[in-house]
Amino acid sequence: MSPRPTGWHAGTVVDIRQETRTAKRITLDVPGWPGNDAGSHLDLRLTAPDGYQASRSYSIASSGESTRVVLAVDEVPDGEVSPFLVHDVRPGDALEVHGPLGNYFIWDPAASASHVQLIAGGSGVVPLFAMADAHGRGGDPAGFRLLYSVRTPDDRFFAAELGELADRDRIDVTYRYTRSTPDGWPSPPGRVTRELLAETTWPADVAPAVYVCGPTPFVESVSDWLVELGHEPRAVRTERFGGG
Amino acid sequence: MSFITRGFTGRGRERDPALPPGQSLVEDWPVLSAGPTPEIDTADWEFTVVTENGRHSWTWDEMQALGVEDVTVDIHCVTHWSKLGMAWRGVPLDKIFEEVETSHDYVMAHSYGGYTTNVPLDELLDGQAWIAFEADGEPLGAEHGGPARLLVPHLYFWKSAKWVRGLVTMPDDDPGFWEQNGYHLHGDPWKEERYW
Amino acid sequence: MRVDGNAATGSLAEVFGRDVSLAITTCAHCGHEDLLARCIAYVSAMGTVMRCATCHEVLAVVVGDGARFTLSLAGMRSIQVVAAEGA
Ligand SMILES: Cc1cc2nc3c(=O)[nH]c(=O)nc-3n(C[C@H](O)[C@H](O)[C@H](O)COP(=O)(O)OP(=O)(O)OC[C@H]3O[C@@H](n4cnc5c(N)ncnc54)[C@H](O)[C@@H]3O)c2cc1C
Ligand SMILES: [Zn+2]
Repeated sequence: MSPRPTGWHAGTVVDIRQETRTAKRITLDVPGWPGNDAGSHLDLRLTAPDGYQASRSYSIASSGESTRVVLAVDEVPDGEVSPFLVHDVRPGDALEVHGPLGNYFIWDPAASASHVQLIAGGSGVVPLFAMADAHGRGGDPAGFRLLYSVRTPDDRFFAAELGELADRDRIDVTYRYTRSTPDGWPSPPGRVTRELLAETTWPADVAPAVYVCGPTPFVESVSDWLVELGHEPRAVRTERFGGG
Repeated sequence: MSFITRGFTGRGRERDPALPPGQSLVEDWPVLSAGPTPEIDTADWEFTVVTENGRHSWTWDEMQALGVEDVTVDIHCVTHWSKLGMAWRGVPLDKIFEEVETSHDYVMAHSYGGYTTNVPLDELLDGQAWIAFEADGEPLGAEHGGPARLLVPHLYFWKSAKWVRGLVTMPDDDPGFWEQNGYHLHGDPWKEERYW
Repeated sequence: MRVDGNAATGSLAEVFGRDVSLAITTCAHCGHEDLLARCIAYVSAMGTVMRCATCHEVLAVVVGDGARFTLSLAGMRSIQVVAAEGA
């Protein structure tokens, strides 16, 4: 696979929908976009009339050879960029993006024989959804599992799409609710723990490729536990989203 | 190829004539970090000044005993935000340099964690700079540079080194951490001395 | 904000003109060799500071104002990339 060129592009917002209570799904059409692998991100730059600029990274929920680029942005209260994207951006607006970026945190169906373990916290599911979706569209034999930590059922990103992939047996999804659960859920709300990782994720002896993504403290504790549970540090790829 | 993003103005981009060019007011106090946040106990804290004539050092209590001042100053971060009328508490560098002799014209501030920044010595004196340990009536949290940071409010705020542990005087204006990496040697917000 | 070196790919692409997240770097402080994407990056509006995942010393710094970028590689003994066109 030859590397995809990285560059600045002007994208046009073609669709916006409510993704969760606090997040929007924003679809861009980006003429000249070279396509992107599942899991990569882009840098988005906003420019004020006085020339002031702010730039942030966003993972890409879509993949493949298309000029359609799907983002899912969660509002960080009092943030500078995410509240603008969630509340102020409208279809037809132009947004400046730099990408695709991050050849490290990608899943390439052609290059991977092993099973795949995805572990997400909150909006950290965005690049992992891109991987699951690519797997769902392809015929590869990898066994996909997702452990997804999220505050409440209403905070799940790509809930319908993940449900559909699970129904087709392309992925096995375990939700972990940290604030409130659906009625009749077997366990009370709580964080992901080392024990939960041991119970619900691919064990180290099947040598899965592991992708962990979410808020920095979440990613750091999960990846430490995975190594304690015997996973090869190099088999655990992380994408910290920041925050603390 | 940059173009203006419809509707975007930036966080709290409120104009005020008291602000240097390109700055706007913020209500919160953003935290910028370039590395892990050191946690230093005041019992272990030590402040050292090294000159061509030798080394002086002060413990936490010795530093306080030099004489604490309350000041109200404006701070200006090179990333375009400012805070006006912030209350700080600290020891003026004049007190420290009463006990130190040097013929050097510049200093390098050194921090726990390895950060450095350069400042002309005469811009640290005459009530222009402090070793500060309280802001807005609270002890400085580690994320804001506590237990003590340098406070040089008339220069961009990266000069106000967090977690400061000492000064080394220098005959020449050698660059510190950000200054080696593209930021201005001096950093006057009124002259917009952002990059070199 | 502490993130992965992978998140610094955009800043580095401003200088290198391409994705160098899979470059292999050697820390000048401790000799640790790793993929660039696996270092620790501190990203703020002042710039991006990449630190060694093992010794936490500074590997590289990128500062840019949108118009001009400064990259310092003083903390890297070496950086190895594969040839740009699929070699
Ligand atoms: C590689 C990468 C991919 C990312 N992908 C996505 C994505 O797909 N969807 C998405 O919603 N976000 C994503 N993020 C996070 C995103 O880049 C921004 O950090 C986030 O949108 C907040 O920006 P802001 O300007 O609103 O907040 P800021 O103004 O930067 O920060 C405001 C306050 O919120 C805190 N904060 C900053 N970032 C976060 C965070 N991520 N979580 C919690 N608190 C935070 C800050 O410490 C600060 O106190 C990604 C980050 C990285 C590095
Ligand atoms: Zn090192």
